[in-house]
Amino acid sequence: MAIIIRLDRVLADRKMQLNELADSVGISIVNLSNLKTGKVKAIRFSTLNEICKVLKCTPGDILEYEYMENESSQEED
Amino acid sequence: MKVPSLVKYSKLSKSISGIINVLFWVVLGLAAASILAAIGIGAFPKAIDLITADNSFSISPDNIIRFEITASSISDTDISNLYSLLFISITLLLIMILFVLQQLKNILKNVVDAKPFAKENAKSIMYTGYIVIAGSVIVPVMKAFMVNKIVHAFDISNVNVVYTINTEILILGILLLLLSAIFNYGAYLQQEYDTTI
Repeated sequence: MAIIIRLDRVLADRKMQLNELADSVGISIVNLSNLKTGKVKAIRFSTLNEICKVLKCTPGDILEYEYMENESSQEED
Repeated sequence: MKVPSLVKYSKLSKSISGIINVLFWVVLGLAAASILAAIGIGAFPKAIDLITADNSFSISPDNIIRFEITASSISDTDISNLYSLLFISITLLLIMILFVLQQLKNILKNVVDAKPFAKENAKSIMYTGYIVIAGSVIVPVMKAFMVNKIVHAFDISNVNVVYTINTEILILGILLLLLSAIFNYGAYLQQEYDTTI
């Protein structure tokens, strides 16, 4: 996928641990870890909203788009 | 929107699962006994006297009409083969029931674990559908075959054995296959939901 999660970078900038973020946002550390490693398929606006609120950032700081030449518009499982 | 809870159904599923577990072992025991009986009658034809103490024979293939065959008319007929066949048919039927019960056990286990829309459940429902469809054909065949054998063994006149597939069971099997497709889609949606945070 061409969308890259930059959560670890933002966390490092804020000097925050993943479990602290998980506690503040109110989602499990497993889910957050999956998000960090790009294992999730989708993120709810509400979750993104909470993460941005806690990290005081914009969605653009967490998500990044990188153009890829050979990528289909709809990825199959 | 209120999130529907499975807790209430989980308790019910636990109870039903317990009953089915007991039923599974009972059917397994009966199947084993039936195999032993089929083998036993084949090996020791005289053992039939224990089953038919009064030497009479009665059959009711459709559960509506019962034929009573008196001792005098079967005195010179060897019915051990018939009993052997009967027990083999019963064993086959019980094996099919066992298979369905096993699938039900698997489904209920997933429901108790609060995972009703699992891929395994869709598969279990599909297997149950196939066995029910097979049963709608096999069971009437077995019955007709059995009755045919009995009619010939006792030389009963003016009796025709008619074979028809069990339409109700066939429709039930097709509905189960449809339900399996629905559960398969449900499992896909569940997976999408689980991978969304």
